[in-house]
Amino acid sequence: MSTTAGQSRPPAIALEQLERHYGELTAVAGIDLAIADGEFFSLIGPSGCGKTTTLRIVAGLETPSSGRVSVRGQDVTDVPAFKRPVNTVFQHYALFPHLNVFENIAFGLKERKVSRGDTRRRVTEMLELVGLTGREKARPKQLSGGQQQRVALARSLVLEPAVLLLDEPLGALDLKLRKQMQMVLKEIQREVGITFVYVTHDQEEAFSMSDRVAIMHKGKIEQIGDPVDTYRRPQTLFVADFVGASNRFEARVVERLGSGSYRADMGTLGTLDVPGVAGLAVGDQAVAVVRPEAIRTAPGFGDAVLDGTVTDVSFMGPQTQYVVDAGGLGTAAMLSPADDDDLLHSGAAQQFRFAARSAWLVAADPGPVDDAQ
Amino acid sequence: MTEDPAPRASAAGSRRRSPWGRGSSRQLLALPTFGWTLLFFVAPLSILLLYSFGQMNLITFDVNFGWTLDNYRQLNQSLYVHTVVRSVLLSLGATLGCLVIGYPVAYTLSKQQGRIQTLLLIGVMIPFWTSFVVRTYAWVNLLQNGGPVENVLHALHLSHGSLNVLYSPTAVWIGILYSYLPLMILPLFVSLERIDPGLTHAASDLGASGLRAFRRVTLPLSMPGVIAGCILVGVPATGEYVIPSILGGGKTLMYGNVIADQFFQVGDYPFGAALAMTMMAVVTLFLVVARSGLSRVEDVT
Repeated sequence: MSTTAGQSRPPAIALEQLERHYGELTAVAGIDLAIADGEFFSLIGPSGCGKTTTLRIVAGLETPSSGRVSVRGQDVTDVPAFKRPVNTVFQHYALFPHLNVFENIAFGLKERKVSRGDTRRRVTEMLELVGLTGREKARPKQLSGGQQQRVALARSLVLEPAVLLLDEPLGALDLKLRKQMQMVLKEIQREVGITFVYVTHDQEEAFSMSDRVAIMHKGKIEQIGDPVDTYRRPQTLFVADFVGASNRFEARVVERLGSGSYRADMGTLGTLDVPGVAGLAVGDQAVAVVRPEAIRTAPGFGDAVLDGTVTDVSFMGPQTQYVVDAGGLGTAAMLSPADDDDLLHSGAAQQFRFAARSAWLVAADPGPVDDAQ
Repeated sequence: MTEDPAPRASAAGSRRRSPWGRGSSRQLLALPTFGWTLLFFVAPLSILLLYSFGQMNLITFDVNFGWTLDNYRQLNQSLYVHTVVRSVLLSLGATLGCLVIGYPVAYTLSKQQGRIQTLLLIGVMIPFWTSFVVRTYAWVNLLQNGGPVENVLHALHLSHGSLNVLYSPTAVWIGILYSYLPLMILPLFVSLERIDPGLTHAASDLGASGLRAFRRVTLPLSMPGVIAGCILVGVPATGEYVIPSILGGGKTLMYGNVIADQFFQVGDYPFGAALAMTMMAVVTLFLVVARSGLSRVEDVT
């Protein structure tokens, strides 16, 4: 795995105690992070969480208030953007409108005084890589959004940076093109082997491409891990909510079972053995997070049962989403495959079930529940 | 009467195609402008053209409309050739001066935000609220020997003795530069302000330092403003009449003054007309060249 490579070589990017304040406002509130060479790493979080500011600090387009930035073991905190071995793909591409595709891609090579022949060869290679061969002479405004995106990518990759920074590069594209470009990006990253640091507010996008993700909240990193781990074992309630829809059930820890499991009193759901974050103590108020796709209606499934009434049915194609009023337990969401034989109807009273081991305990949020920002 | 339905049907048909009614009635809206232009621009210009081929009896002051090129041949005289050259050089010099001074001002303006930017923009335009002639006369006081400009230069030890600038081509150049500067700054500002600041960031990200990024991105993208500013300054400055009359002291004549002289002093309308037509041709040529350059750079942005 690419993450183990980081142990022998210095990390592609290392951030130490990084902070950025704008007057009273804190955009980045102390970040420590090491990104391994060749890794596809994503910074995700809601807007205003400081992810773009962090990226811009790494690019050198923003100065940190304190802390250090290193690239491949070299401190670049005081190195201006134009001398850093990192390149950025901007959210709105920022292609030069007065230059054609070829000239856009060759822009950085010219700054490095690469010879004419080498430039032609490398630009041609890049055009091939991003699938734009034959469009050399086109101006950016003659290209579609997806094509402009590819030019922006080629323009940065041609410089063979130590790290490529991508700031919500797919944000301006429609859904179908986004999915397609996600595949393209992943493929290209594998092909060139350059470290990608990807910023997005879309966790699904990040999960589908990344080796590891960091979830940011209020200028801090709440959790770092691979997508599966982050989704299945969120460390905080914020992360649990941000990385996907989740049902919450109140729980109180009654016993620590070891190996990361707890016996929890979950009110009308009974007492269940549920895995959870480390460090919960007996008597702690906690929240059991249950993913919508973990809830079923099949009789005999799982060990937790709740009685509820379907209040809303949304057919989404591959899956159907139900909103269930579970009485004293609040509302719950359930996802089931579209080919489920008996689709439930609004108003249907039903038993809904999940396995206790598919739930996950996190500490109850001390603050207001919906304090996402 | 029997033929009536057919045209009506076709009129209704075209009404459906255009919400504005038939094409011809929409064109009627242009009639006042068209009439105005015809009456006060095309007609006088035609008369001027007619005069330029006529001849004047300098004793009786009778104008003889014929088809002679004598007036245009007179332009060969060194006095007129020198005037044309001087006008063009002064205009070019003033345009260049405006560009050199105006560009940094426009650039700084475009980097400001909100109220500061508005205030600075008003500062650029405030001179327009005072009479142009009054401001030009003010330069007489400023530039004359023993005047403020001389005093400042003496105090800074940049010159000694009399300044001797007033009533010289330099004074005319300064006057044009001063008066036309806002006409250069405003289009430059507009084109600079339109440039996405993200492009400069991208340039710097790709390895271009501040100055390089300016040369390779900002400057080429501001070319529409540069050309528009040069047209706005260069064209009227070539035909400038008031500034050379006041600051040139009647010595430094520009083309506009020579034309005025022919009409008001000498009274040789045909020759004056020929001079005016020639200047129009020169300016039109300049405009055509500049416009083609403008459309080329605007195609890009």
